[in-house]
Amino acid sequence: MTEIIENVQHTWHVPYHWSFGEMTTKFFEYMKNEKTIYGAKCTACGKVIVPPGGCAICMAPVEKELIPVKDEGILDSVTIVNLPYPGQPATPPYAYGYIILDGSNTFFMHMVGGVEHEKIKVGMRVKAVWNEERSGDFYDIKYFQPVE
Amino acid sequence: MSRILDWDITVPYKWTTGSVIGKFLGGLKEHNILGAKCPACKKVFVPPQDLCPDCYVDLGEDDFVDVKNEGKVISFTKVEQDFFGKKPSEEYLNSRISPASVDEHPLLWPPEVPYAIVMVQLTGADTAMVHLVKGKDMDKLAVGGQVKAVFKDETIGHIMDIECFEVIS
Repeated sequence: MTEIIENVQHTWHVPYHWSFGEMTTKFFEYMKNEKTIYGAKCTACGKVIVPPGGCAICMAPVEKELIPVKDEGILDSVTIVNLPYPGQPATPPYAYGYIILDGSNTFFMHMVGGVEHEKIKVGMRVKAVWNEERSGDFYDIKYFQPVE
Repeated sequence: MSRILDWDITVPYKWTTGSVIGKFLGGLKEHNILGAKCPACKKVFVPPQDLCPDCYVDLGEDDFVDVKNEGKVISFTKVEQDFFGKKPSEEYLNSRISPASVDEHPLLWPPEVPYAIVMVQLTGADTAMVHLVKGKDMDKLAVGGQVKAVFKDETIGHIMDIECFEVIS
């Protein structure tokens, strides 16, 4: 009797080579060395864009000068992830959300932690918890934790 | 100064074959190539299908037929340029976001260039299947030429249980 092979498994690998550009390179260097988040002003609407890159509303470039913003702000939206899937930044359950950092006008996406998930509320103030060892990427911030 | 990031996007998958392709792969494990014969139009599909696309007749357990391990080349593409993405970098596999579920199946990775992707219509089949021709056989490869499946000694029920096709005339 011929066996039925029920499934086939494989893994796709898509390698990439991304040049950050001057501004994003500086952004991560400041996170690593100064534990500070920087943005830049849109040349059209004047809003502070974090991370600095381009204004997604005006489609205009930002000014060359980087402006420090606070590492705390308002949690604008949140998602609790309970299902595991490949490539996740943490083991479920975990929470992440959009944070409007003080001094900025854009949504900064990061993990929300250090709190029971039931207590996370949209509109609450959250503050970055930095890692002691930093390598110049978004994981230099462990998560954003609610503040009193 | 701009920093450069070299990285891998990794997408593991698990494809459920279903009873028809599942049996085709089981046949390969036994060094046997199976097709499905439509009871209405008598066409033989290799690889087998669970539905005849011409008659819309369901094909199942009773419709499997053996076909020969050899057939003729319908078309081919020679690959002489190597490309990236064949395997993950060591750096990626050792990194913190490397998914634990990454399952290595080196036999699905394309062989070293040069090789050819061939469409082979096996004797007894009405459709063509895709496989490889490689090595010195590349020079003898021609549309209409006869090729024969070379099976691996150790088989697991996978399309690459056929190592490649060799040119026999």
